This record gives sequence, structure tokens and C-alpha cells, in this order.
Amino acid sequence: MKPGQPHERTPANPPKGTARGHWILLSWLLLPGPACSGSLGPQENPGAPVGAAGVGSGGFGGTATVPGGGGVGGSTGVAGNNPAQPQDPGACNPTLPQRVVLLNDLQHANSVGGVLGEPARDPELQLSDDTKAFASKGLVVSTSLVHERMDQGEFAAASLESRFTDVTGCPLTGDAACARGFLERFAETAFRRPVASAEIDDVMKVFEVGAKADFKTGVKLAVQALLSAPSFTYRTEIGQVEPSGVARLTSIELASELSYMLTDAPPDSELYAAAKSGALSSPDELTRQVERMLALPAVQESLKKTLMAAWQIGNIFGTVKDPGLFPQYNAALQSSMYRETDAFLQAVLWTRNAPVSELLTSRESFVDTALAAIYGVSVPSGGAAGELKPVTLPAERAGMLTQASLLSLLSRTDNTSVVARGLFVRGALLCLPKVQSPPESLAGEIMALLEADMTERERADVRATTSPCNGCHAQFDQFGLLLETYDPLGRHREQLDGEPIDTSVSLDNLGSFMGTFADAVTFAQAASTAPEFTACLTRNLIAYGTGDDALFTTDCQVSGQVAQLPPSPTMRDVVRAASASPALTYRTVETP
Amino acid sequence: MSYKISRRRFIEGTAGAVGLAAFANSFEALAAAPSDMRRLLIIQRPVGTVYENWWPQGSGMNYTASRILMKFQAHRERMIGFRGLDLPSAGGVGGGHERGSVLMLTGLRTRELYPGNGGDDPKAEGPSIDQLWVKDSSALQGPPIASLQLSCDNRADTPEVSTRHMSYSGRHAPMKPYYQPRDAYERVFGTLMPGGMTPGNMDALAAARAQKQSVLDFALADLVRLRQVAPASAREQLDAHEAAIRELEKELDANPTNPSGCGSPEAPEVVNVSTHQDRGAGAYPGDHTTPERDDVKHDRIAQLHFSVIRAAFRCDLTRVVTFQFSPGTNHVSFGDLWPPDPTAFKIHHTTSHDPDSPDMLEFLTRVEEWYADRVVKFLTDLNTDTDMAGGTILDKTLVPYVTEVGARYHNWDNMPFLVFGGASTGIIGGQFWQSSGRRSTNDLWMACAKVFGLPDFVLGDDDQHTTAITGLFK
Repeated sequence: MKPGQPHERTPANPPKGTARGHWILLSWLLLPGPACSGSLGPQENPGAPVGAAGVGSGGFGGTATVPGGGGVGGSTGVAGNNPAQPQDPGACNPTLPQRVVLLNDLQHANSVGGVLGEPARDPELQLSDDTKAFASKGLVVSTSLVHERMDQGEFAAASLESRFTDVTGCPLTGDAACARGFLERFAETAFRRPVASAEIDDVMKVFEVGAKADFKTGVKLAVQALLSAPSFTYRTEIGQVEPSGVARLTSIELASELSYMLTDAPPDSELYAAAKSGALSSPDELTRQVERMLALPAVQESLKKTLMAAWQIGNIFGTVKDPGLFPQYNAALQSSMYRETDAFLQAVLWTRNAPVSELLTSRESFVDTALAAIYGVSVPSGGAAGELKPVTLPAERAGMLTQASLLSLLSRTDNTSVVARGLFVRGALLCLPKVQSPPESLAGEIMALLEADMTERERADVRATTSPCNGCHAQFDQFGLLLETYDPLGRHREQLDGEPIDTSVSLDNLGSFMGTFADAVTFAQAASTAPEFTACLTRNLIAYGTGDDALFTTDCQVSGQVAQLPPSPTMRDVVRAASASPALTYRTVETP
Repeated sequence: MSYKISRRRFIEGTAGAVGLAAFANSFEALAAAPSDMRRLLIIQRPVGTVYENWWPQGSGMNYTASRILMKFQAHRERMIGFRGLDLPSAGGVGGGHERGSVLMLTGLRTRELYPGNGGDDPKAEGPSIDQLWVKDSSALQGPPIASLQLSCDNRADTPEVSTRHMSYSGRHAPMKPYYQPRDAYERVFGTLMPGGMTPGNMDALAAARAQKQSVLDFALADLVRLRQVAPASAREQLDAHEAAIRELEKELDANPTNPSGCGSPEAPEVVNVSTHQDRGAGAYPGDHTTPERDDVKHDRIAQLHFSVIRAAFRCDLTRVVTFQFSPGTNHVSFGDLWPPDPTAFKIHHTTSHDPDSPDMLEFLTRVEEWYADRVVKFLTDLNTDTDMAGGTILDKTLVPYVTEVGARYHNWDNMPFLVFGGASTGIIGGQFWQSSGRRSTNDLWMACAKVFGLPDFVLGDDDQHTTAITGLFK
């Protein structure tokens, strides 16, 4: 697909040539033979983190059966382009329409806390960014959602009781003028945009109803109304229509979009000021603001959690393994594994500001006693019990791919899973095009294969030599085979059933990978500098910000930004590039 | 966070205004298991029927409605009539209306009389059916008021107890009904408020309601502005948002702490019923007329009671009601209904003691129709009200329509009972059940118990029932 072409997300237009796609579709249905081009069927989520196929499942290709789901999504607009728009061959045409975007639950709760502080957050909510979802797919406005959010508004307003003057600047028995002054400022903060005086007039009507009881009640009721209003719970991406026929988001809208992308929270005062003054429309100012935010611990934390969400690390909680085989696998171990990944990312991305390639190569990690046993290292001394301490892992480890969290997550209850691991590398790590799930008709054979007394390698061999399995499995099994020297807890092993494990695979034009790779470490080294990896990171960030689960790494909104990355980019570089993507700024306009 | 909790909090905020708390449990219970809840409303009209105008042609599903039954035509599909049901009167004590009144809901042979009261006023030997079921059926439990007893008129022959009471909490334990709808209203709503329904409390409730409404109004106004700038593709989403806000508005209306929210905006006025009793020497001599007509007030009281029942049902403040128009030995006078002279105000019960004549039978038939009209309207209203548990209020409600004697001659057999039931009761309506042989009214109650999750329920002394009548409920 050439940049600038209208991008239609329909099965009729797979990226790799319509005619071939159709021929292959027919041959898939009629004849055995290599049929899995990776471009069959609806082009869903080629870059989406596919995630583990689920502990205990057969690891069917393409399905994400892990709780939390796979894929990116949640945009509330209708994806699609208006073919009647004028096209500039040099431009990167938008694919998302103008829309009104519902804040997800985490963002909404953070917004409440953002405008009124921690005491305003309802403790009954148990939202944590540890387990935040990468995709807001399925988030629709419903009666219960509206009610819950209004409820939060009421709780937040009630929290003013004990700090009324501090927050409002008005005395306990103030007057309407003081109320109006405060509410004008508060409304702008809450709505994240300038508020018209007619809107304030409406707010004051609420104040007056409450003020019949007393002044404080009036102000609190008005605060509740503002936090219960649609302008609080939605953000807009409507912008202004330019001569070219596309809509460009206003600076105010961009500030919200950018802030929720990077922080899951509303714009801070500096970002908002830059937006309000119009300065944010300048790319330099945008970059400046992004760099400023990247220095903030809260932003770093949010971005780190976004990556962990993209890789579904949070799914490790609640997974189970055969207690006879893995008695040590319990909630505490899961927690350690999760925290190790968290600490690893923190160190690579922020503390050392290392190139993102180190995500796949670094052996500097953090262990406690339980993890030390997994990795076969001795526990560093010092520190409190349960605390993770820095170690250098042995040479058989290389970054994320060989971390206990991922390897455990991408395994079944009693065995590793070549398919789950393979799909993860293909999808979540490299954003290669998605592979279709096996048809229902094969379910019996798949179960039989899983139940057969075979090693994972033997199963992979069966699939490689059986039609129609080999068509699709050739797209990812190899990646999983590379990881066979790590058991279902991520422990390294050289042998299985007395036989040495052969992890050497031959990759034939899988993405940019070509040739023989001896083991996971060799592959990780190659992947760390492969264009797919950096592009996938960039794509994932942009997709998180826009909720566009149909975004491809080959889309100009991604590839254009990847092209601007310096060599050996750091996370900061990637975030800067992603933030500047036209995906954030331009929307298609509906024909009336 | 569950929807249930958030809904409660938003609405509880109104309750907080008057320092309430306890009602929330029933609200929660309703939200928790709405599909299981049921209601029972037993309505009694006095003095039986006029069989000539009551029995239909045919039976089963293909009966042709009689003159009086035609009044209920709008509800035919949810109604069952009965032919061949007898009160368990054998071996008991007490007069016609008196014994019948006790037997109709307790099902137990009467054994003792109250002293005096004409010497025919029996005591009840056990709890009435409504009290038995509310104790045993979880479908009827939950609301803050276990049951409600209402009557429109207190006048009866002598100070007798039996004809004035439908409900008994136990043996010899009559449950006095509320006569004034105002008192019923305050019972239903007032007990929820510390201090009762003082003007201060009511003002606070109104203020809290207005506050909530202002928040919703602001959200709706904001939504209007958002719609103006939003693209067409956002319409569905914003429509859904608006629908959600409006639903919350309706729930404010159904706030059980707020009578106006339950559909009863004002406390009912006090209606002073005449104290005239048709007396004379001997057994009801005279022409049974009275200078003051009762039926207008009688109707007014009934309507006010009905509105309290509706409000109580809507807000799930009770699920069990027994409602009496008047005692069997009543002194309620009706205008317009006496064929020879519509301007005469004729007393219902005492007129029924006159020798049979076409005019008298016509008068009694018209009184039956008068009561039928009101029952039908009430059923229709219940079928209009939205139930927070889903559907209409009537859907989950069983409404037996009873009387204490078969007809004016004080018989206890061939009782002209009807049973109405909403869809969720599983009633197999549209039939006129006919027994082969005599069956006890207890058998009917045993069948009805199924609606309340009590399929093995047994009522009555061993020789006073057989088995539950089958084929009445799915």
C-alpha cells in the first residue's frame, strides 16, 4: 500500500494485492497446500499484541483467550475513510473520523483525582494501572456507566466538605460572586477547555438550587454537576476543517488526547496553557511539552504500564499451573515476576534511558529469592525480604523474551506453548500481520494433537508437515521453538525427556528475518535492532493514544514517524516520534 | 463498582437529606432478585353476588361471560373464575357474614365466639393466608412493611370483629385495617422518616429531589451543546448517554423515600364517612334509605387507598395488601342504583335482607357492578405502572377477589371468587374453572401458593381441604 492511498479496512483490500489474496482464499477452502499468506480475511490488528493464547488452551492461532483480551481498540467512531476526499499523494491521509471519545474508567477516575485531588477519588473503585487494558474495545456508554460516573462526581463533590475554602477560595458562607469565580475556573479545568459564559450561567442555576440549603451546598452541587456532565466524561476530536477537506484537531483537543495517551490523565496546567494560547499547534512546542512530560515520574510510570499492557504482563495474575509439576507457582511468585518486569522496564526505559533495543538484549534485571531460583542465580545480599535486587542474569537470558513473566504467561498449565510464544513474538513484539485462527472443523484434530504424548517440538513438526496447518503455523511456530529452552516457569533447560533441546530455527522471510537462528538469545539480538521491533513500539503507543486497533506499522501515521527516529532510539525518542504522528492530529470529515 | 451500589448511593443522597437509611435494604433486595419477587393483593367486596347475573354460560376456556363478569372483560385473559368452591364452614360457629369473613382467608373451622356482638361473631383459629405466605415466601419478603391492611368503611352491625377484619396475624389475632387513606399513607411513608412526615422532613425531601434534578438538568443541557458540535456518527453514543440520564431521572421518581416519587404526590385528604347506621326495631325494618349518600365518599376513599397501594408497590414498600371495601354487614348507601328511584340512597347490606324482588336483585347486581368497575380500573392502573423489577406492577401481582358469602342468603357454598394474576404469576387465565364435586376454597389458596414459591402449602383442618386445584398456574 502506498502512503497517501485511501486506506480501507475491508477484506476486499488486503495490503498484498487483491487478486492474489482472493486466489489464496479459494485455495485455502478447496485444496490443501500452503495457503496462509497472513493476509486472509479481515485485516484485524496486524500489529496488535495478540497475547497469550491462554494457559491451558491449545494456543489457537490468532485468538486471544487470556482475560483482558487482545488487540487494541476502543475508538468510538466508525473507522473508515471518505473516498470522496481530495487526496494529496504526498500527504498522510487520516483514517479515523471526527468523533467524540469516551474516557475509559481509569482515565475518568484519574480525571476526577486530577481536578479535585486524591480525597476526591472514591475508594470503592479499585482501578489500578497495573492491570489496565491496552484496548478499550467494548467500552460503550451504558446506563450503568453513566450512573457510576455520576456517582463518582457526587463523591468528589462531597469530599470538598472538609477542605472547602482551600479548594474554592471562598469562605463557608460566601456569595454568588465568589461561587461564580471559583466555578468558572473549575469548569475550565474539569472540561479541559474554555467554558462559555452561557455554560457558567447554567452552572450557576445548579448553584442556586443548592444554595437554598446553604452556600457550601450550592457550590458542592455545582461541582457535582460539572463532574457529572458529558463534557467531563468525553473528550472531542472534531477540530476544524481545513481546505484540504480533513479536520485538524484544535490545540485544546490535542492537549487532551496527548495527555491521556501519555498519562491516562487530564492535561496539566502547563500543557493546557500551551494549548489555550495556541502554541501547541507548533511542532516544536509539541515536542517541548512532550519532553517536559517525559521527565515526570508519573508520565514515565504510565508509559511503562502502557507497554506492559501491550504485552499483557498483567494477565499473569490469576493464571494457574499444575501444582504437581509446579508447586512453587503461586500468587507470590506471580507478583514477583510482574514486579521484575516492571523494574526491568523502569531501569531500561527511564533510569538508564537506554536504547529500546536493550528491552530485548539486556541481562540486567531484578530478583528476589523466588525469582533467583527460576533464573539459577544467587540472591544478592542486603535489602529487605521480598525486595527485588539487581542482578546480572546468565548468558542464556536476553531481555523481555526470556523473562519469567512472559515465559510463564505464554505457557499452559503443564507445558510450554510454542504457539502462544510464537504468536506473541509475531504480534505483540513485532507487529507482523495477524494470522487467522484455525477453522472450527480442525478443532478435534487440534485437541488430539495437544493431548498426544509429544514434546512441543514434536507437535510443531507435525504441524509443519501437515496441511493446512503448516500454512499458518509457518508464520510463528519458529519463534516459539526458539524459546523451548525455557520451561513453563521460565527456567532454563537444555534437555527434555533426556533429549537435548534443539532450538535452532530457520526463518524464511518472516518479517525482515532471514536465515538460521541458533537460539532465543541470537534471535533476540537480531530482533532488538530489526525495524519491526521499533516500529511496533511506535505503533503501539500511537494506537493506545487513538484507540485505533486497525493501525498498521505500514500505515503512514506510523512509518512516517519511525522514519524520523534516530539510530538506536530510546523510549524518549519513540514517545516523541509517536506524539508527533499525524494520527493524533487529523481526522476525516463525514459527508453530510 | 456495581451498578447496584452506585444507583443506591445516588438515590440515597436524597434519603440522607432526612437522615434515613433502612429502606435501602429493600431497594437493594429489589435490585438483587427482581425476578423472584411477587405481590399479593386480596380485595374483598361485601354481600356476595347475584348468581343469576354472575355464573357464565359454559365453563373452561370457552365460557360466555355473564352480565357482571362482562365488567371484567378487559382482564379476562388474566382472570380465573370458579364454580363449585365452598368455604370450610362445616362444624363451625358464627353467623353468615361473620363466619364467612373469618373462613374466607383463614380456612380454619371457627370454634369460639366473641362475647356479645349479636352472638354470632366468631374468632379466627389461625393466621390468614396473607400472613401465612408473607412469613414463608421469600418472594413476598424484603420490603420494610411486611403487609398492609386497608378498609374503606368501619360500619357494621354491632361492634363485631369478624366482619371488620380480613387479616389475622394468628389465632384470635385480628389485624386492624387503616380506614383513613391518610393514615395508610403515613404508615407507608411516615415510618421511614425520623419524626414522621413533618413539614420539615417533607421539605427536605423535596429539596434533595430538586438538587438531584438540577444536576441531571445540567448534564442534559451540556449534552445538547455537545450534540451541536459532534459529528453524526456520534449520535448513537450521545443518544445512549441521554437515555441513561433520563433513566436516572425516572429512578429519582421512584425513590421510595419520596412519596411523590412513588406516584403519590400529596398526602390524601381526610374523608369523613357518615356514621349513619340502619337501625330500627327487629331485623332491618324500614326502607334502608338514608338522607346522606355514601358511595361518592366510598369511591373517594377507595381511590385514595388504591393510590397508596400503587405507591407502596411502585417503591416496593410492601408486597402484601388486604383491602376491604366494606364489611359484610355494612351500612354503605348507594345513590343512582335503586331502580324504582335513582334519587334514593339505599344501604347495601340491609337492603339485601329484603325479600327477593326484581328491584332488589337489580340493585344488588348494580352494586356488584359498581365494585367491579373500581376493581377493573385499579387492575388497569397497576398494569400501567412500571415495576422497577421489570414489566408492570401487575405482572408480578396476584389479586384474588373475594367475598364473605355466596349471595344475600348467607350461604357459604358456590363462592363467587375470582383470581387475577399478572404474567409472571403464571396464571392460566381466560378460564372459568368448574369443579366436579365440591371443593374447598382452601384448595384454591393451596393452588395460589405456587405463585409464591410454596407448592407444598396446605391450608385448613384435615377435613377442610383436599388437594390444590390444578390447572390454574403454569
